[in-house]
Amino acid sequence: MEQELTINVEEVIRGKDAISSDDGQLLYNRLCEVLKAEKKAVVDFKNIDLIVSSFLNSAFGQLVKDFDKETIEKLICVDNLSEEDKNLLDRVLDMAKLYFEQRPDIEDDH
Amino acid sequence: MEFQFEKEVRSDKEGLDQLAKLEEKSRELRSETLKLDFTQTNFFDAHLCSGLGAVLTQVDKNSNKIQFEFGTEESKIENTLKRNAFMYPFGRGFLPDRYGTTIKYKKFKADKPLEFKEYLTKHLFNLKDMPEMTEGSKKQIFKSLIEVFNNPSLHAGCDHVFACGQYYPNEKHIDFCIANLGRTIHENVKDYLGSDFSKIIDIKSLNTPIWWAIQEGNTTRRGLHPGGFGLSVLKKFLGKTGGRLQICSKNEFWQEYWDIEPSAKRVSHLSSSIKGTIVILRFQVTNS
Repeated sequence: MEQELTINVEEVIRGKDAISSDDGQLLYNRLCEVLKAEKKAVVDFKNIDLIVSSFLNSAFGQLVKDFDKETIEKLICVDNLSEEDKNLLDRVLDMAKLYFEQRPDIEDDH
Repeated sequence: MEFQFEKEVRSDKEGLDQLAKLEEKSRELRSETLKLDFTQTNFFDAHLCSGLGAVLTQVDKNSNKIQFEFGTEESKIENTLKRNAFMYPFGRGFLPDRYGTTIKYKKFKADKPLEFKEYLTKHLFNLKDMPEMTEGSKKQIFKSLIEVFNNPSLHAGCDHVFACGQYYPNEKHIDFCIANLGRTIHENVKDYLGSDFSKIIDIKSLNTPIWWAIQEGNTTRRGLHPGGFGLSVLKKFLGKTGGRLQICSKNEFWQEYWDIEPSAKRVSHLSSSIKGTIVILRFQVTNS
């Protein structure tokens, strides 16, 4: 059985606060690689102190442009995330789906 | 140019109107002296220093000089502005905060939320006589403020964000203000909605650009990063905990109060239009 990859958020963003869009981009880059390779991964939020929506939008929300929500949920699971933050992540993914449906010709904003 | 502040500058329509008027009048000022006259003023809501700081930063950037006139030697207003370190960059020194109730005025780069978080950690919960709050409650307040802080770099295209707060130990609440002079909410919403913008300018039904912007899922973003959560997350938290939200952008002043029964929302138009956005939050800080 293929071993799941663990992505440690604290290591990726080199800190305990998941609060910036730029840090979200770092996690997004890692998640993108995993999804493109159709691998499974656990995103571990251990030791992360604060999480805000702009981080989640950047890290997870923009995945929805290239991967459907079901694929993301099948291949990526999260660990050490509070119920509240799990709910926020869920809403981020739902809203991202709507966002990209409404903007089919989207371009990079960087 | 001389600008005279009125008797009171409070966190209300009249107070925000004065800041908007100052910004509007000083916007095109170049290589002149702006004289701020507080001689008739006997009250200034300390947290509004964020809005004032944003305006004065623009004035300073445009090669103008800034002068303050407080009237008396022991001006109450000057002391207020010195206690929260607002006057320090203007060479007027600072006063120790002997009451332990000020959350210092500070200017941040808009893309540095980590610095803002460090500032909150240092200044927000180390105030005198603060009730014991759970880590969960503190975290919620942190998150709410960071959500507001992050908005300008995502939407307003501005370089700096200004923050300041004040703790009221008797009333057990914190008033905190975050300001920027970037694109207004109206400009963003109008660009995004195009001809549909006219549908959301009905002030009587509270259907306004700010109202649109604080609804969950609504975002004016166009790039790869979706959005539409920051302000709605904040609104839910304030609603749950009996807080207040005031947002001023262009000439719209939106207010939502959950600390009164029944909760109330109100929108009004200012007589002047301010560049950017001022967000004022009230958090209850009872034992939790």
